[in-house]
Amino acid sequence: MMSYVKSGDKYIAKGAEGLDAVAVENGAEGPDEIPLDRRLVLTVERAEVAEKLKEKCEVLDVLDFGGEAFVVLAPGPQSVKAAFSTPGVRRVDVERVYRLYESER
Amino acid sequence: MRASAKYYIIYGGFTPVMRVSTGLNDRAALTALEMMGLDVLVRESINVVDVYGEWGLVVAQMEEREYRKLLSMGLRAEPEREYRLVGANAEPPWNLAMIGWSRDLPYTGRGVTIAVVDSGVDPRACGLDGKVVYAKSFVPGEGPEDLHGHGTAVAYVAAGADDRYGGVARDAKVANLKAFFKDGTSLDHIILRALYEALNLDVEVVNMSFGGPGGPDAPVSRAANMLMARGKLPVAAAGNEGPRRGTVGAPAAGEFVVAVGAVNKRKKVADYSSRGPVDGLIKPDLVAPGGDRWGFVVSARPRDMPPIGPPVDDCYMGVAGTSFAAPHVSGAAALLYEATKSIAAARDAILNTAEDLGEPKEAQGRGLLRIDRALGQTRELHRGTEAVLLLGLIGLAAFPLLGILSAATREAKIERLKALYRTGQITYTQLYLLYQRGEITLEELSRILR
Repeated sequence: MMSYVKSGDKYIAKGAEGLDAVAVENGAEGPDEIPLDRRLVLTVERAEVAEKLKEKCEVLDVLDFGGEAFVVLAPGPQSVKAAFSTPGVRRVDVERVYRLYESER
Repeated sequence: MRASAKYYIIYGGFTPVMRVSTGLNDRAALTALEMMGLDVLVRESINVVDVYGEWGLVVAQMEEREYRKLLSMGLRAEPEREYRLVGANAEPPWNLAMIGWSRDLPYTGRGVTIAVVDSGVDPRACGLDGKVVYAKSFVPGEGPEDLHGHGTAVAYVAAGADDRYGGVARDAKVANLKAFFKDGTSLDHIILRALYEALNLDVEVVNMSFGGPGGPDAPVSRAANMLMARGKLPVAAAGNEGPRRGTVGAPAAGEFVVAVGAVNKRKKVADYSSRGPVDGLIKPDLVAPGGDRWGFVVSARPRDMPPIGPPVDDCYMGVAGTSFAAPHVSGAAALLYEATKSIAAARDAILNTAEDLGEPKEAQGRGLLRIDRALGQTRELHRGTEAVLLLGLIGLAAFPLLGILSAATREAKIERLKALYRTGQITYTQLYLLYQRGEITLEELSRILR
């Protein structure tokens, strides 16, 4: 099982060298708490980082907004491991649920 | 014929010949005019459009001086009158009147497209006929049709074109980017795809009447921010989680996203309207009519669907929420973009002219949207071209500023810009232009605005 090193609010996979620290957001205290049935939304320093991720897990989407690039990973432990052990990953978000601000009925 | 020429009705004698002419070249029309005793129109070279002999009426297009000359010659004539469909409201509905909208505004959103990231838009709904120029679904297994009702109502408030109630930008078009399931929920990966589509589409405004947990750093907030960098104004509902403080979520929390709270019919910030601040940012940015159960906003309902609010009739329903406040601002942005051809100028005009309602900043932001004031401000800007605008803004403020700071460290420069922005000595537009020119990075711009 992968273990992680914490520095401040950042986490990286233990033993992984030369990594950018990545943060866990949206409720999870750390990588070990990421629910395995949720997609991950990664912020990456450039869209090419997705190529490295594809070698380790299932990449669902690569969206380069020009200044911000996001990679969406399928749910599962391989994705969590890949997110915290791939250079160029800046941030990891557990996928959120959004709601229409519905009318008062 | 000059553009100032208007239509007039001229009264003459009755003739048994009913004739509708297309101009004075028509021999029968000339005869009819003589029989009506209106051959003077020929001598005066008046542009006769139609001759109705049996009714004793002539329609002519002319300048006011020509009209006055005919009056001085003893003819009975009058400017044509304005008529409305029976059932159409002579006055705009409360929500449009409150923000200074009127039929006399010089801009209607012509040539502007508003992307609606929502539950879909029904192009058959009242007021939306011919509006939806693009439709795509990002919801797995579903087409772009609106199976919820929310998106159709949002699109109508922004751009609905009928006279019964109507929306803000009646000549604007709509791009339907469906991103919500019929139960009114969605997920990051679906919304990101829809925003990515908006980024690459020919649209000027992106309306997002939804929200989820997260602040300015949430992926959807940051993706929405990037729309601004590509010349598309992101507008989001602040949320319906009020009156607790700190309840504005993503994507409204994005620095460049215009977050819109709601006021009710009494011009008070609605209890349900989410409150700021968010990570030191003043949110919402402003408020617009969202109504409440004591005074709904009337909007269109999709065909063949139950209404999501109190039904008015087969076409309309009452709705309330910041979801419906946001498209007021999106529609206003369409008008302002038509006027200025600049999203940054449109954004500044909207924010700088908001009416202070005297409520706390975390409830009202800058205040209530006022389209009349915003268009009044841009009229000055509109005198020049966009290039002149840029030169004016940069030349008068930013160049001397950068000159002074050129020897300072980058960090000091950012701190200085931050102080200038907070004290109102430099505007959002000026900062945005610095970003566009590569003088500051997006991250630095974010820091300055916080």
